[in-house]
Amino acid sequence: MRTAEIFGVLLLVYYLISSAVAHGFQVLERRMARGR
Amino acid sequence: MSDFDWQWPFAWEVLPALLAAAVNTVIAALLSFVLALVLGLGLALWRRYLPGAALIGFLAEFIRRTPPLVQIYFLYFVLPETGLVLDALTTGVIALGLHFATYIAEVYRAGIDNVPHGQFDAAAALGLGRWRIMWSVILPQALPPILPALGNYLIIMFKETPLLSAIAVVEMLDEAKIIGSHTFRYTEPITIVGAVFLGLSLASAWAIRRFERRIGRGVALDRAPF
Repeated sequence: MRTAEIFGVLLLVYYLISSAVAHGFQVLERRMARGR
Repeated sequence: MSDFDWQWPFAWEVLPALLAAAVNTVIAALLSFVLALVLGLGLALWRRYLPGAALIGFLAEFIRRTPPLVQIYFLYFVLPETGLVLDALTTGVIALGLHFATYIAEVYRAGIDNVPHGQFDAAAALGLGRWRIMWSVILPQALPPILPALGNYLIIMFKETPLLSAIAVVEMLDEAKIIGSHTFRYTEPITIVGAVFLGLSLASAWAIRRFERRIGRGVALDRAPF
């Protein structure tokens, strides 16, 4: 594989993990704001 | 029994080389910061006024949500494949500048949002154009309150410069690694690098606090008559 693809995929994986964590915290924040 | 073995003569011997490399660290941090300030302002204004705000927002989010080290590697190894060959320091400065521009853009946005909307309306009533309003009316009011936050980003970026050692920019950490690989002694060089970073960070924090107090006084005086 070429370097561009390797690092491109690596960045994408990091982005997806960070987004999932951020989304999880947003859901948690909304639930806590509703008092649940 | 501990194997810890600190040798002062060796520490003094390597100190000049590490301090010389500290100059590269400071240069890399300052250049990245200036780039981040300019790009950050561009991003903030683009998202506010120009078309494609959603795309720019997504790109900024993407950059914020991925590690700067991987971005540095990406630019260092991928840019030459596109025909753009830059030296390691330039690539590192661009990568760090771009990464932190996405954070600094949010600082600018907060500063601009903090200016009362009446200021926009009043400037528009005077017949000023959109960009003239931003440049001459809004930014001069938006910038002073966000200067401390920008100063903090300078310190953060300064502490992130060792990431550039990954692409062989000879800043302090890279110099320490080179010395360690030549002499098989890492204790003194790495400890000195930590101490120099601590010293420079404390000095920067002190300078920023002084600057903040001066700005605070200025704002208070400006607002006193009203």
